[in-house]
Amino acid sequence: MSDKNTAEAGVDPRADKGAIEEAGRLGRAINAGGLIFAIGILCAAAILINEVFLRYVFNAPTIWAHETTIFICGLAFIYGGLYCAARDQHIRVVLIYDFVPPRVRRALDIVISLANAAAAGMFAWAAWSMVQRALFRPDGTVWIERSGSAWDPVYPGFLKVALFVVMIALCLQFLILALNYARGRK
Amino acid sequence: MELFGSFKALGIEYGTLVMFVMLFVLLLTGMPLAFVTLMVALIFALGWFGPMAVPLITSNIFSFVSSFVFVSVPMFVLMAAILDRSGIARDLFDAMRLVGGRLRGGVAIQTIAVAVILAAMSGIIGGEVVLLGLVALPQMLRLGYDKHLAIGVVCAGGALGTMVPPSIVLIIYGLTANVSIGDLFTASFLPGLMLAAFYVAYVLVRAYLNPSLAPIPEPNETTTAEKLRLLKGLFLPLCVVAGVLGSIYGGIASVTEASAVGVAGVILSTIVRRDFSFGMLKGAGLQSLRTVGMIVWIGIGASALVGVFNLMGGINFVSSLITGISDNPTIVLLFMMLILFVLGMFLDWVGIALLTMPIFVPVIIQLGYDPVWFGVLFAMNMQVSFLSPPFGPAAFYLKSVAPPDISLGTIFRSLLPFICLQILGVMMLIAFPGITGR
Repeated sequence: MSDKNTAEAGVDPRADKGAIEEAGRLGRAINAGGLIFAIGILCAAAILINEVFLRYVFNAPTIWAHETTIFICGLAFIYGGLYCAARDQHIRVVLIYDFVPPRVRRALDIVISLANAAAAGMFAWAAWSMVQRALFRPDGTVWIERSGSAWDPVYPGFLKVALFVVMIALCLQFLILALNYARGRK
Repeated sequence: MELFGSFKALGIEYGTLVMFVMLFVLLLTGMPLAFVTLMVALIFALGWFGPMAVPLITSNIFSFVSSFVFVSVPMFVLMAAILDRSGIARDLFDAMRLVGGRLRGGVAIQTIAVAVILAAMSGIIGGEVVLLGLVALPQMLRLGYDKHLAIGVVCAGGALGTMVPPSIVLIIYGLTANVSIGDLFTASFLPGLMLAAFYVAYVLVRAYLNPSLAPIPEPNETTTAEKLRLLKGLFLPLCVVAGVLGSIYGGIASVTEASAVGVAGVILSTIVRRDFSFGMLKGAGLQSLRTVGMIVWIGIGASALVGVFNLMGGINFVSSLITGISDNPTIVLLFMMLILFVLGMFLDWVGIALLTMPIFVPVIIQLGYDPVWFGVLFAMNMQVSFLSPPFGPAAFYLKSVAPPDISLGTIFRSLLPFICLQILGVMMLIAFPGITGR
C-alpha cells in the first residue's frame, strides 16, 4: 500500500526532479538548501575516514570526530524529512489514491496536506518544551545543553533547536501545499 | 468535557483497536506513513495522558536521531548511490561471465553472483535491483532466457542487499532490539549465502529440466588476455568488500566507521576507473539525503507511536495476546512470522521493524530464543516483503527500468517461485537455527 517505487532510491535513482510545483517558493528554497546537508553527509564520511586513519596510522584518535558526525548526520536526518516533503517523496500508501478520479484526488491532496501540517504543528509545539529545557535554565538564564562527554560540545542543544525550526518549516510547507492544491495551481 | 485523558476510558483493548483503525484509515487516504504515525502518536499522547506525556515522545525521537550507529545508514546509502552512478557494477557483471561460463542458465547464475558481491558492498536494495535491471536483464532477454526466470533472478538477487552483511535492515533491527550489529552481521552471513544458493539451485534445476528456458550462448572463445582484462573488473569491488567486512569482522573499526571505509573504497574505485566527478558526488549526496530523510522520518513517527503505545501499556497487552495464542513457542514464533509476512505485503520494512520489534523482541527473549537469531530471521522475512505483491518494492524498482512490454503483473508472477524459496529460507532458519552459528 505504500508507494514503494519511491522508497529508498526514487523511481530512477539518478533522476532529480526537484521540488514539486505546488510547494511554491518555500519548496524551491528547501530543495536548494538540500545541497548543504548533502555536502554535510559527504563531510561526515570524510571525518569518519580521517578518524580511522588517525587512529591506526598515527595512533592519535580525536575526541571530536564521533560527536561531530552524529551532529552533522542528525541535522541531515531532520532536514531530510523537510526535503522529502517539498519534493513529495515521503513514502505513502497510494492503494486508493491512485484509483480515484482527479477531483477526489485533489480533495485528498488538500486534506492530507492539512493533516500533515497539523501533525507537524503539534509536533513543533511539543518540541518547544524540549527546546526550552535545552536553551534555558529553570530560572530563565541562557544555558545551552551540552553532551556531557570529555569534549562536551553544545551539539544536543543545537540539534533540538534544529528539530524545532524544521518542524515549523514543515508545518508552513504543508500549509502552502494545501493552499496551492486548493487553488488548483499546476 | 475534558478531552485530555478522556481516551483512557476506552481501556487498553479498545484503545489498541481504535489506534489500529485510525492508523489504517489514515494510511489508506494516501497520507505519508511518517506523518500518519506521528499524528496518531500525538493524538493518543494527548488523549490518553494529556500534555505532560508529550516531552516523553520528543525525547524518544531525539535519541533516535542522535545515535552513532545510525550514522552508518547514510554512509551505506551514500556508498550505494555512488555505486549506482559509476560503471563498477557493469564491469563486475562482465567479469562474472567467467563464473557462469557455459553452464546452462549461466547468465542467471552470473547475475546472482554479481548480486551477492553488490550486496556485500552496500546494504540497501533499490539501487541494486535497478542496476541489475539495467545490466543483467537486457543480456538475459537478448540471449533468449525465459522472461519470468530472468525477472525473478534480477529482483530476488537485488533484494539480497539487505540479507548479506552489511545490511540496513539488520542495523535498524540491532538498534531497536538492542543487540550487537557486529553479531547480527556475523550471524546473517551464511543464511544470506544459503538464500543465494537456493536461487542458483532453482535456476539450474529449471534450466536443465527445460533447456529452452535458458539457451546456452553461441561459443565465442575468450582469450586469456581478455579474461585478465575482465578480472580487473572484479578486483576493485572485492577490495571494497574486503575493506568493509574485513574492518567489521576484524574488529578494526565499528560498523559506522566501516561504512565510511566503504564510502572511501567506492570513491577511490571511481577515481581509479576515471569516472569520478564532483557532479556525481553531489548527485549521490542528494540522493542519500532523500533516502535517509524517508527512512529516518518513518523512524521518527514509528518510535513516537511505539513510545506512546508502550506508555499506555499496549505493548504488554499485545505481547500477552501473542503469547496467549499457544503454549508452544514454535507456534507463537510462526504466528509472528505470519504477522510480519502480512505487514510486509503492505508496509515497508523500516515501519515494520520499528513498529513490531519493540513488541516482538521481548516476547522472543521471554520464550527463550536468541534475539540475534531472530534478527536474521526478521531480515529473511523482509526479503519476502520486498517481492510480495501488491507492494513489493523490488518489483516497482524493476518496473522503472524494465522494457515497457514487461508489466507489473508479469513481474509479480515471475517472483512467485522466488518468494517460495525465501519462505523456505525462513523455515530453514526456524528448523535449523544453527545456520546462523548461534
